[in-house]
Amino acid sequence: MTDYYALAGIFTSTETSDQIPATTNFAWNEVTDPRLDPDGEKLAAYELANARFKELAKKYARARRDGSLNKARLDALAAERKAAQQAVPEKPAVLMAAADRTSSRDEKRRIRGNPHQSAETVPRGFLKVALPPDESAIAISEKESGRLELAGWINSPENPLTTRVYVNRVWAHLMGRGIVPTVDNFGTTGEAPTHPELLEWLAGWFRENSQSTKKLVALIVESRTYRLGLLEDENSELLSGDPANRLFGRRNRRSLDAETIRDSILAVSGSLDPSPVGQPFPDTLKSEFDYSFDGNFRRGIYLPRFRNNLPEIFETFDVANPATVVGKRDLTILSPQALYLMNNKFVREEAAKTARQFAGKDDTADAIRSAYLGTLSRPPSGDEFRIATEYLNGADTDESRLERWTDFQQNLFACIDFRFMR
Amino acid sequence: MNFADNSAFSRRALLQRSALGFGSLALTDLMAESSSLTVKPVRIPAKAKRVIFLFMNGGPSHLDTFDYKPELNRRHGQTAEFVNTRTRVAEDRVLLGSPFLFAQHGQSGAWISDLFPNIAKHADDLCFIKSVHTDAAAHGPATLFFHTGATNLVRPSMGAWVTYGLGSENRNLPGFVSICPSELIGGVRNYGSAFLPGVYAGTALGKAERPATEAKFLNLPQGGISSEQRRQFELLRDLNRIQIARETETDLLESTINSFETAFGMQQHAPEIADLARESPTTQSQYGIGEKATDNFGRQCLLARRLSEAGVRFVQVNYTDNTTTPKWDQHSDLKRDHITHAGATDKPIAALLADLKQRGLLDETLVMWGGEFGRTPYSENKNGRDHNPHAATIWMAGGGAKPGFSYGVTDELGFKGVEKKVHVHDLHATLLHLLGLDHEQLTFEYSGRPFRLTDVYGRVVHDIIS
Repeated sequence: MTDYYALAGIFTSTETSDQIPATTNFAWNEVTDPRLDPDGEKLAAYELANARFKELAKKYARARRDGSLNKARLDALAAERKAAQQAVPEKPAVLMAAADRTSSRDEKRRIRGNPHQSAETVPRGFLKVALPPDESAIAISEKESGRLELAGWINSPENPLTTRVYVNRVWAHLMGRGIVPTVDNFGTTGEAPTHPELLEWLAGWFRENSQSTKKLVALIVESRTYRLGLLEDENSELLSGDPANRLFGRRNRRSLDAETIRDSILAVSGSLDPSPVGQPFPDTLKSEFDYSFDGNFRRGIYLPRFRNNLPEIFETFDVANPATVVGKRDLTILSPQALYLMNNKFVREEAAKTARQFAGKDDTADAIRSAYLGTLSRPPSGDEFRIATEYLNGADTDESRLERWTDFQQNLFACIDFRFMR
Repeated sequence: MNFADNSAFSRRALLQRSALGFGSLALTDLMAESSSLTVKPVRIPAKAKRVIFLFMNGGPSHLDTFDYKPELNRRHGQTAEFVNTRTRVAEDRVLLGSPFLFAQHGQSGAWISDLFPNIAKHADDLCFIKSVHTDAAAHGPATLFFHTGATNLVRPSMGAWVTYGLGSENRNLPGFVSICPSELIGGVRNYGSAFLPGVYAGTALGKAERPATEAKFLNLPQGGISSEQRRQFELLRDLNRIQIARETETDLLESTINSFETAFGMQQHAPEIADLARESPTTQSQYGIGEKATDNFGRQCLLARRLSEAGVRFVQVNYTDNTTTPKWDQHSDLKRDHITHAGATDKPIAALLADLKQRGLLDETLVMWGGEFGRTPYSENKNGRDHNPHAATIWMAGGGAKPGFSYGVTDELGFKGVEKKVHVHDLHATLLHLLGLDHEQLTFEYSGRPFRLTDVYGRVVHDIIS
């Protein structure tokens, strides 16, 4: 419990604000923002000038209301106010960031968590269970929050937790289950690792390879384990001996996540805009609720992620809740997903766009093959080919032919071979 | 990527049962996409099967509606010391008597103000709890607390817990629906499933500030299913069957195929449930549909009855908007605005109670009315009242709540409960109990420990159970 208040002291001594001067260039593309304010001087000048303008505006409003000034003096005040307004420089760039408060302090332990019942003071610090042998190495200065030391402790090579947790998440993402299956809980109430030596080895390898996620992903996907196929024979000992596949003796079936379903549909229809992120939404956007995702065909990872306004396809297909910590997404198979695929305007329109590429072709057989290759990356089987031909040939007009092609293409987006990878 | 956790899907038998095809859905209503929603047995004898929660966002004043305080009227304009509900600093405040007239109603003699002439006719059906207190004094946290039992952490809504505990009575409809919810003050979290599986999340029908005529199911076209789409569903089923035949460990794939069968059933039946045109003009006018003041909330209430009747476990009917000072939040002009809000809700709610009763549904349907907190006996801005987390009145009807009964007492000015106080956690525990669920047993393992709707608190208020 004291660990909690030790950490709480660090956060009490830290403020999060969206008005921190942008002293460093955080832009991803190395382009220097002209609004940068390296010494915070621009912000200070702005605030001074703005305060003066506001004071004059208030004075003017008061005078107008109570009629305490004659017209000439009121006009003079108005002119002064206008001049002050014009003297306000453009607001320099500010960032949403954390900074130390002007004074730092330790938190008191609260009896049964009640904020009104304080007990002893707990010095700022970290989780005792993961402290390095020489604790004094991370002593927190009285005048600072301890945020820097916290970052140092999290990233210390002597702190085994961070890298273990990280490599386990990457493993879980690629393999379908973590070596520690409870990816958000490495404590005594979580599950024990199935392969502790492997986890430790991966963590060490990761540290020695400059903590590069790309290298770690490459290491795992090139492994024999990753490249194993799905179960081939249901009588195999792989199934009877390890029904839940805890030992990774075969591949777990993977379903496409929300972003991949969306991007794949757009890629097949030809609508996908692969350009990387620029400004995700206009500066003029007042509220997240005012943003519409319609017609934004960028990749899913480049869409703005608002806490209370997600694209419908994301909400429908188990995207991680942006308001909370999610180490591993849920996998659900629900009827609203089926309804989305069968009825949503987005799916229908992209299916229609795709269908237009095929419906006009004279050679239906060739068009069906193209649709299968384009959507499922494989040719149709004999049975699939037969059923599809029958369905598509049932149309008697060009219009109904396009409708049927759209139905068919939409079904290719909805079928299990599209939603699950082999 | 998402992966199958093979241990979690073992429903091969379900496919065999539902492989009869789309035409046989009526027979397979209770064995569809996943076992998550099948009706589950309860441990406690259940008084209620389902819930309609009439959420009065903003905090209606108990002192001007159901908690009659003649002493407050006598001392109107006098000064008294109160500890401010938000700053917790003691200060002198001016008392505000109620501008509304109270009278006793029914055999039970319940005191009800003239704001609710129609609800008052049902006085003998209502079970008042007049000593409700909560953990938060601001709309956001208090609304979340009322819905989820937590003021700030992301926790499942009580509707999600109920659906998790009981399953769904109708596989062609979601188990939990929220009608016209607000985007703010907790927003989607008020009907979300948080760490409970997504199948238990509430489905929103419509939005606050949009006409209730737009309260429809997403991705469910009106008019059911066309012959073209039936053919399309059948093509998909045939294509999927060819694909699944080549696979091993197919549980997840079977669930997927099943989800389309359920979807087909929903598409056939759900839109008609949300279609109020199927109600007679008499019924519609009883709910106040067609009258300017009551049209919107009347539609919401009638929709709630149709959903509830069709087997939806938990229906939230939201009287709210998309502001940070929702509907009933009268910091000033309490008289004028409470008249507006009561005028918009009184007739529809009374019609809902009468309708449920007449259809024999009230006995097994728990109707609960309330806001996130009550209001202060002292005035704010001369003619308004501030938030009061110490005292609020909620009422229940049907579903095993004792009719014509009043429980709990506030002090003579109505600032705080003094007798038989009922915390929101207690309210949750009691609601679950009425549905046959033990709030200490209804748990879900998350983040290394079991979680409950009532956290580590809550006690069942047995005295209000009939």
